[in-house]
Amino acid sequence: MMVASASRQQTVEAQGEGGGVEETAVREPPVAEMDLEQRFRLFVGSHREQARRLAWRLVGGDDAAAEDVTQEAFFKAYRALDRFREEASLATWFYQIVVRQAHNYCRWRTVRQTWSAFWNGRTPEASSPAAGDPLLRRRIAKALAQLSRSQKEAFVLVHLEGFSVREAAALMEKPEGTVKSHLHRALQTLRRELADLAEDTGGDAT
Amino acid sequence: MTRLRDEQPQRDSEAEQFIARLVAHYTPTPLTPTRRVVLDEALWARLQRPRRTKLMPALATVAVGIVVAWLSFPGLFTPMPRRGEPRVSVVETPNSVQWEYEIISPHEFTGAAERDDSPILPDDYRVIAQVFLDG
Repeated sequence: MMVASASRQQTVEAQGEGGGVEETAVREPPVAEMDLEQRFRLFVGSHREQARRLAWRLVGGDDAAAEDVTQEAFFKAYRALDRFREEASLATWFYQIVVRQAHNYCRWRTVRQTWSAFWNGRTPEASSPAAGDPLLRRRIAKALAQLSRSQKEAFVLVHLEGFSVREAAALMEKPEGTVKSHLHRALQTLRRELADLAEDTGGDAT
Repeated sequence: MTRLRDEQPQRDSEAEQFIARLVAHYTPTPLTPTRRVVLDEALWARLQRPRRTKLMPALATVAVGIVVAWLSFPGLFTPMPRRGEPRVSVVETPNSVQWEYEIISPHEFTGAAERDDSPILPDDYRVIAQVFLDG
């Protein structure tokens, strides 16, 4: 949770004059004395990387899109904090926003690509420097895009991001049994679509 | 978020390996510290901007619509005459000057004495005119 590391010293990276990054140690006040903005800053700091990774996987491996989705999700979460009820944890609520935002992004991207193909005769490619083979990454993204929305979200949340089935069910607002069913079907489809990856036992999974 | 191992779905070893390969090949590069600072600053700058009301875009659209309609169809905004009243329209040109009207009699141009012997007058009126005007 956002308050977990409140009393420790947080390292703040600030851009130096020479363009390099210098590190400055800043002592944080106790959580109880923090105002809303300070607590939200702490929350952003501890969840930015995972939120971005989740968004990246949901939008099909596009860095710029993942950053946009994450920023928008943080923005919406901050503006809607007064509507947050304690029924779920703040993190669950926030990742729900990320998943929804990623879905909206994908929907609009489909519309944009359709129009772009209509007017220009070509669809823009998302460029993203990431680890691994770019061709294989594109194939994985394409295979994930063939899944239904629920299957893709369940698979990414549980198998790729490591959320528990219960957490994924809470995020997706679906029963746990339904999420398990989506997981099973998604895994079957992906193993069929990426059969070479499923059969490859070369041990390159590091 | 806390994750319990027994909450994870049961997977065979082949599925485990397949998923491990997917994770390895489908992971973004981590954000650089510089990029993180840039994103943080952009986020806080956006959060500190004053909140716009949801009505503003709707009001702006309505206002623009009214102006466009007024420019396109000026007749829409002129008051309609009531039933039975004549429609009066005033056309004003840019060079129009305020006129002052004055009644001028013909004898003021000719300098002649004012008399009216118009044949269209009835006889009674002509007699009275001769008495009072010609003496």
